[in-house]
Amino acid sequence: MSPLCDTPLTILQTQAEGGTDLRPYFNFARVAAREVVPVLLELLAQQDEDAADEDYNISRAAYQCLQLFAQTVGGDIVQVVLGFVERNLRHDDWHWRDAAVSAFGAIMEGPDDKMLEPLIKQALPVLIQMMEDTAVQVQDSAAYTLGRICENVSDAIDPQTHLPPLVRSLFTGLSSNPKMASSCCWALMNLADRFAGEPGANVNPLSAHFPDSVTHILRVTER
Amino acid sequence: MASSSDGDAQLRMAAYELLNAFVTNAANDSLPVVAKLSDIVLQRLENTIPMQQQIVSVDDRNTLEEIQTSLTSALLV
Repeated sequence: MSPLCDTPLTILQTQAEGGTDLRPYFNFARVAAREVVPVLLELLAQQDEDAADEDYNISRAAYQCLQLFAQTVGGDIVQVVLGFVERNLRHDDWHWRDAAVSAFGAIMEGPDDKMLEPLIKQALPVLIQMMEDTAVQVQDSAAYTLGRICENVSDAIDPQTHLPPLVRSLFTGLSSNPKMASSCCWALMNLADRFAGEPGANVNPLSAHFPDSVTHILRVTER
Repeated sequence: MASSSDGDAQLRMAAYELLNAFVTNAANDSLPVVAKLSDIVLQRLENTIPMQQQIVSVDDRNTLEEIQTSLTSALLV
């Protein structure tokens, strides 16, 4: 299956990348997206459970392709991906829950922030909850998707309402399972960077969390 | 010195990078915590020095060097 899918996916990736450089191809990518994106979403659910971090497989190739399409066609991708996410977020089979979470993360770069912000505000509590999913792969994907939000649309994260539970669950994830630790680490690094405030600021949104965060990190490094 | 798996070593390095990120982006009101942190990091670094004499295996030596590098970068920040 993998060789069959790899070549078409590579071609699509190249086309999606080409869309950002050449105007004549822009519409081609948009038209292709309508046909291709639903297929990519299905392929996300073909995860390889035993894959090492560096391994390239169908699910990861589909994810990268989806990311590229999102960057190329922007907002047009949101509706179809959102439909997929809503249908599969609470699926009994972890493969589909994982695919749904990943798909959401894939479109965090490309569509306009204004379009993404209300979706993110709705999604944040759900994603935080899924960091405690029964499947560790889903936990890790949730952490990674939260990282994608912190990296690309941090303005959607409200310091009063969203930040405390987000910081808490990322630190819990950091200590709880090595499989999701690096995703949590990356997400926290993005948070630290995006919420730093102006250089020389007296206070920033993370100030309240600083002492506990440092204590937590020191404990992790002691192992 | 307890031997650590690759995963543990990677996590430890990532965690020190995270520490650096927090310290680099800290607001002024967090500086007292940063000062205390410097003491802790310095202490840990000092603790690794006697280990240099005791270490035999290449793996353990690599691990020790990694830790020392991470601690030193944390101090520099």
